Amino acid sequence: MVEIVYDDSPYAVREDIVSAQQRAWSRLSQAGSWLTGDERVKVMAETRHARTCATCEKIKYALSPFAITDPHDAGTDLPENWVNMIHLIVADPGRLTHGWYKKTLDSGIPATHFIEIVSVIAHTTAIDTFAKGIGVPVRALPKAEEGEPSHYRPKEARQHQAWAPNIAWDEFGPNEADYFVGPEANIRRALTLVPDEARGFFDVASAQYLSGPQMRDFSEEFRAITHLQIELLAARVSALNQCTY
Amino acid sequence: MIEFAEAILGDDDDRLQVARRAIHDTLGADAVVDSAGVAGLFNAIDRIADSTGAPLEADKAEMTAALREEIGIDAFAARKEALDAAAKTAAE
Repeated sequence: MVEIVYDDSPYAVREDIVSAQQRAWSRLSQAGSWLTGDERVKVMAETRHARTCATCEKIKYALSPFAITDPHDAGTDLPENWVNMIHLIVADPGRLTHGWYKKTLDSGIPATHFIEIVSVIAHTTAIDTFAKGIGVPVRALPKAEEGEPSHYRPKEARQHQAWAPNIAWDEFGPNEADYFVGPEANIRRALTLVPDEARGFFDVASAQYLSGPQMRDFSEEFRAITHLQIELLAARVSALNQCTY
Repeated sequence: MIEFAEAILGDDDDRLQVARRAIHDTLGADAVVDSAGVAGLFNAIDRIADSTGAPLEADKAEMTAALREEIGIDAFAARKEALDAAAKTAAE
């Protein structure tokens, strides 16, 4: 197991960020609900590798991301349909479409696996971008641990307005009662087809951004930047990613 | 903040270093860490929203309708529909 530390950082990193990222690294190294630890660490590696893929670079500048049919430069031995999915989410998230989602599932990636792969990409992206922001290299990937996926699919998850099935805010079962707390937010529902991934990602979110109650409490500032500065920064990042959410 | 957001998503290390230094000099060292945390988190959450098709809540869409039109966010959604339509036409 490789632990995340920031001894080489010129900036003192808050302990809650380090702890949350360490928990994330530990979870990512272990079998999830649908992927083995080995597959999860390979998805992390492929997420990083995609940032230097020549095909991805062409896609970014193409009129349509689906017009480029060159093979991606894979950095792992993951299946080709996994590599295609990972690279497009990394390179051009703002132009992903419902048609792309359906095509990706039709290529043989079940929705459960799709959500877990998205989650691993998101965890890796959040933590790698943080390292870049404070001016240190990305942290070493964790060593994959043995173990089998749980194959847990919450029976309350079903198709709603989003492309991927999820649990509605008022339909959760007892296993997920700990997660569905506070006001409804569609983004918090997005990964709930694989509830442990939703829990894990929003654990990192609470440290790197704000917890739910902190987000809505404008009577106090919880960070060295204000609520307004946080939202300005977040909005600019999302606009650059061409995110419509 | 805007310069930091643009630099962290770009490939120019010198630009990022200048943006980081500006935050440090204006708001302090902890602000650099918090800015990196927020930028990193949203760089990830955008990918979750965009790859799962998470819709904007109806009340938020209503509250931000004018702003979204003004700053061009609505155009992103329209472009996605056009991409899907073009892909469907190409497949036929």
